Amino acid sequence: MNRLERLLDLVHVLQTSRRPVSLAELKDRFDDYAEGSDEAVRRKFERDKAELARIGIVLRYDGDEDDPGYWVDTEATYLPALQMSDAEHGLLATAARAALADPGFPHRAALRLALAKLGARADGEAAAVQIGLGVSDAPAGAAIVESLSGALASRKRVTMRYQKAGGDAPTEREVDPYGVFLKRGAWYLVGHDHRSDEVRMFRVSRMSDVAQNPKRPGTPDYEVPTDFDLEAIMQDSPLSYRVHPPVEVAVRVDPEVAFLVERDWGAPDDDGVVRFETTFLDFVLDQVLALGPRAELLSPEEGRRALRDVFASIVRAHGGAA
Amino acid sequence: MSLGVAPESSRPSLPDELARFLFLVPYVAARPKGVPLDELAAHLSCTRAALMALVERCAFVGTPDGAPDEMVEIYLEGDRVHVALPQRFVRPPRFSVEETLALLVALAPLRRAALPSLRDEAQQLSDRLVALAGERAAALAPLLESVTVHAEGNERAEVMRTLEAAVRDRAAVDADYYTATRDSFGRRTLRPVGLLQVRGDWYCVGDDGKTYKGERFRSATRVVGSEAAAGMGGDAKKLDAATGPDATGLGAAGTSPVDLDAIRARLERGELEGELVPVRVRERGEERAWPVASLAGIRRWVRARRGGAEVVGPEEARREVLEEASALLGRYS
Repeated sequence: MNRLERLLDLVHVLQTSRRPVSLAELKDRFDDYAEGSDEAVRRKFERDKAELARIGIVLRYDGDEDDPGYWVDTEATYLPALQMSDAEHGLLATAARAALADPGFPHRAALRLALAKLGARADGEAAAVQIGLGVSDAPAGAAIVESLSGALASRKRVTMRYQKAGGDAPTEREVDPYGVFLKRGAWYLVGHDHRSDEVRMFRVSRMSDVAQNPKRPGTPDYEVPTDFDLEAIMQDSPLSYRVHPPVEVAVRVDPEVAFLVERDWGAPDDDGVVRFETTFLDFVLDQVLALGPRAELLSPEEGRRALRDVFASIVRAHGGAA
Repeated sequence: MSLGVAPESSRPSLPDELARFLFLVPYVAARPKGVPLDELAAHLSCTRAALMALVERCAFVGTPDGAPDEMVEIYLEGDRVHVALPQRFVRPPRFSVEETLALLVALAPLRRAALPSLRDEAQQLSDRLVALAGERAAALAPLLESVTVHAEGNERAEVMRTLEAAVRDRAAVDADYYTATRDSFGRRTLRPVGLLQVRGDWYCVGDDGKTYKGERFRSATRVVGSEAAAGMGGDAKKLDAATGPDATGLGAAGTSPVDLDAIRARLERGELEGELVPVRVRERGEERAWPVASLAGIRRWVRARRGGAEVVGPEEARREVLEEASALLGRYS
């Protein structure tokens, strides 16, 4: 009897018996449990139990002295009969269509199986609300995200080689994953970086050789701090990226389009000037350039100089005198 | 680490095969005519050969040395798998950790959407699905929600609320909207037929097929009394078919003259809409043709390149870029 068949037979026996089944009875019924010492048989049975637990089969032990034994808790193991509304099916279809259409979405096989269990479909009529994930680093990124999310679920440390943007050679990193998220088509890992001893963000497309700590697989390596706020990190504007010491910025912005940057910069005063602090002035320059004639950087002076250089370059490139 | 289900096309592990058997027996048993191999293989993300091998290996699952009626009766007939006797394998297992994670991540863009009612519905559905997870997966659910999709742009909540209701009620809206390609701001009336989220940004699609980026609405006000089928040529039946209540609660787009699928795909590819202006540009020494939506769009593109790109032609475009840059240089000199 192969192990697959033994495990399925075991589930069958333990869920059809009218009373808990003792290990002694199992030894009588299964040839595979009949050979070896009691201790060896117990160890084999424990390994089988653990394998079944991995796929969600819940075995209970009833310690009743008269009738001790094991049984499958079918309510805890199997999906209850499920009624989903049309609206719920529609939401699930919208989500699944986006995920399965994108090779950059991780855990696609698991999603397909979960949908089949629910009797849900990812095809069919297109809804009036649709999602396009547009993941950029597929499918390699999806495989890394699967590995990272597996590590996160088990709270196991990961090692990787990481190529920092603009950096020289890739560096070896050890990270405790706290969160993994997709933002504007790119996957990111946030976690405790042991090299810097700080919480850092890593772009998945810059990772290679990602591996989970293989030691003590059932034991977490760390706990996610209770004050860790993934939401705040995802919402974080590049204005607060720590590129340089804080500088005060003032921008005059056309009131007609001020709403476009209000979330990042805040509301303008009565003179149409917005004042804020940043640690990433270059990002502000990008925003000012995007607004063109509708915004003017008033300070700091180094930012004005940088913009003067930009416009001088554009003028020269187009045959003008700068 | 595997969470219980192997990646597509990899050799099945023991947990994979167990999970597949526990799914397929109740699934097939519920279908008296059997299930095509291809359908099962698609659900299980495996090959037909792997599936056939599994059926063969599990032909004698049941009570060891038991009578035939104590066995699961599973067999292949032609191209279909049949289960004549499922024993007590009549329901699939609850969701594994990986299945729960996959469902939660897939729903994350809706759960975190800028559309208020959609967000609430997606959260309720997510909670319901977690309740259907296995014990370990349910216990890990808070941690699993740390794998997610950021889906909040700079859209204004009140605008998105109005647009969402307009799609649902087939109403028109008056909008104060900034058109980036023309660098113009103004009021327009549109009749939204769909809302698309692409890379975290929301787009509203009008009944003329044009797209409007959510964050560029300064305001949106429902046009009172516009709920009647005034749009789409006044063809009420067509409008009903296009945006009538469907599964999402926000209307199906299936028979709409506006092809939302195609529009979403175009946005994902970053393609522009409408009539394009042919422009030639030079960047890093390389000259190429680059159709743009408008000359305002090309000016914006040149500014973003910070002097590293040049418009070669047509002359009108080159002149516009030079004039704007000269004026802005004067501002900073």
